[in-house]
Amino acid sequence: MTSDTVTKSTFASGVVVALVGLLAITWLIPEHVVGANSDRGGVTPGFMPRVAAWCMIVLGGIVALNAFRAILGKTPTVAEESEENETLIFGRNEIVDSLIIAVLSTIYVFGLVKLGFLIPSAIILAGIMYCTGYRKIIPLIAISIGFPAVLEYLLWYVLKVPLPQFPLIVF
Amino acid sequence: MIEQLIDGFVIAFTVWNLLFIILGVAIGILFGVMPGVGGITALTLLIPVTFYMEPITAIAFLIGITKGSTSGGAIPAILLNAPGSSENVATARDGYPMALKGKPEKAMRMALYSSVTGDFASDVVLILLAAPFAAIALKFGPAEITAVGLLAFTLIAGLSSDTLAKGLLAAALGVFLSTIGLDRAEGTPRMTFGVIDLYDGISLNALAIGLLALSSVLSQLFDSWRTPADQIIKAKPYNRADQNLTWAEYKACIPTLFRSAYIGTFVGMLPGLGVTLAAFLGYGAAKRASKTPEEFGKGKLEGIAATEAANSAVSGANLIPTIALGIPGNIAAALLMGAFLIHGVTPGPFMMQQHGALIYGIFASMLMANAVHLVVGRAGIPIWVLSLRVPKPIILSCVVVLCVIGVYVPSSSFFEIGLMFAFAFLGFFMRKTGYSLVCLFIGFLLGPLLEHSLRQTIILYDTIFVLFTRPFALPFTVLTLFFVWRFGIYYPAKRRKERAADVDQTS
Repeated sequence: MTSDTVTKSTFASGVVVALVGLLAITWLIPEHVVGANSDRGGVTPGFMPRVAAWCMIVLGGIVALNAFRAILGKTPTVAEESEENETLIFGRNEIVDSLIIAVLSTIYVFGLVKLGFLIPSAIILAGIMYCTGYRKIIPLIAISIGFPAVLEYLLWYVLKVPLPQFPLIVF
Repeated sequence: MIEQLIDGFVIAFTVWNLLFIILGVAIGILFGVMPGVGGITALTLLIPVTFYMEPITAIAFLIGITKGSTSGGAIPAILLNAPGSSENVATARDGYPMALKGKPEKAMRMALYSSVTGDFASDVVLILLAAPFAAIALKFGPAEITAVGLLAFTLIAGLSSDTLAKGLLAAALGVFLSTIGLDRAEGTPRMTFGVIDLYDGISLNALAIGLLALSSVLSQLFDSWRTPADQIIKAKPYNRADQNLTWAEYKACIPTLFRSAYIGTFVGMLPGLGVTLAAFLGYGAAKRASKTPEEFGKGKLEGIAATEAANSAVSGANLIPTIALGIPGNIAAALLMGAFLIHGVTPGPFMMQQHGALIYGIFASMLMANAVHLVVGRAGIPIWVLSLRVPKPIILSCVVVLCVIGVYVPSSSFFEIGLMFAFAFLGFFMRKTGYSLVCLFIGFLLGPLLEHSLRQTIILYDTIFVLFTRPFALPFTVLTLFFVWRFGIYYPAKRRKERAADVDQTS
């Protein structure tokens, strides 16, 4: 059976997507699609974005309504399965995980820009391995530094593909 | 035709050609194994290498890469639940549970044999139908392609998602995202906010890697982080005796293999529908036809056979519209078409007439590549199984870095790396709340095709109701409406009745 948190987050996501669709129809497309408001009938550049946005509004509304009725108990929830057999739940832990993804990925990308590929990747590798239970320190350090270093060498010298560099070291 | 094919074998069966086919298959498997990198990256990087080759060797090499990468993508799907490409997502449904039961090599053997079987079946169809299909496909206009696209969305949403509305919502979001960038007809910016990186639209590479591969890896990493060590589901110990795939087990999957090969070939013949759709249609059909559908998703051999046969069958059939019409069926076909053009061969209805010997040489190379794929793939399986001995935190964290490489290498863009993480974030949410990632991806992939055909339909006919009046479009439209009823009304009502009956029984 689908958990309550998933039903509630389904309701919330249905509402959010419907609102995004509404925002697209009322502001995003008229203001940010050049030629959307021309008078050539249904074949302006805004045509397909509008079709997709209206679908999002209608389908988001249906999804939210079905979830709302399930929350009120008027209909039983449809037992849902994840595509990859994962547990369907979106509670406090998952919200925290999402925030961690957002923050760490921002820091990592910023690090790639400022420090190149090797240093931020080594730090990320070490951090992920340590946090997920791999505690053998010497192999951890060796892999964290060795793996991105080997990748960087292969890409630079074999495939001739430049990776982001540390500003003080130029290949 | 037989004489032409024999002549093709005479041209293709050279030591040099064979060596490059072997190399192509090996490189394809290697690239396919790396989540997010895949055959497309391999093709993109290696097409320039073929500039100085003979056309037949060049195309045979690239076709080897395509064939190898499809089965290569099944390896991380089975071993890590992190599919190498989107077409292997369905493989993970039964491949990964089978690996957890201590039978990873058995799963990979089934995936390889199914892949080769599906490939061979579609290559035979390609050889038989390339010329006649050119005649039929010329009758497919914008209305027909629109009808086919709508059917594809409905099918994939209904088969991939437990609720049709959620599946279609994900697809609609994918279509909306596909409209970002320069309008393909008029070249005017749409929702780019002045960001030059968005002028070409959202990068397919960033979306695919972030949504499909990285989100899976992140989900597994967080599960590992939060699950106490004594509760982590560890794979059963590897036992060599359990890894054999017997002839009886393979024989039992033959109906599934041929059904899926047929589905993949049919999907491959229609431009734009793609490999992922074929994989899921094959899986869904196998599950519905099975006497034990409840066993699917828990490590069933037929589940692996269905997806791999279907997704591999697309590659040969995709060349039918590519060769016959000059319309590439998917990205890989588009890249191959580019390779054809580089070597002075223009795909289209006149290709068979002007380059018949070359075409049949390529057909012969494809059949040879299937045999090579079987041998090279089989030899590599024990090597990939060794990777199970590497602790999962090491593999998964390395995959995160590989995903970054996979996005950065083709584009050299930090913006795309940021996009990749944004889609990983979205994918993480969708995984945990039952939304279909594949529907969003298919929506994104087919959105431009659907837009193009829909706009042309309206320009030509002034109405969308032509979908009901054109003789080739009508069957697809009727099927779409049928599946909307079936997945959107009939199945949910049936499930609610069953649930209400269960509740009455227990009370």
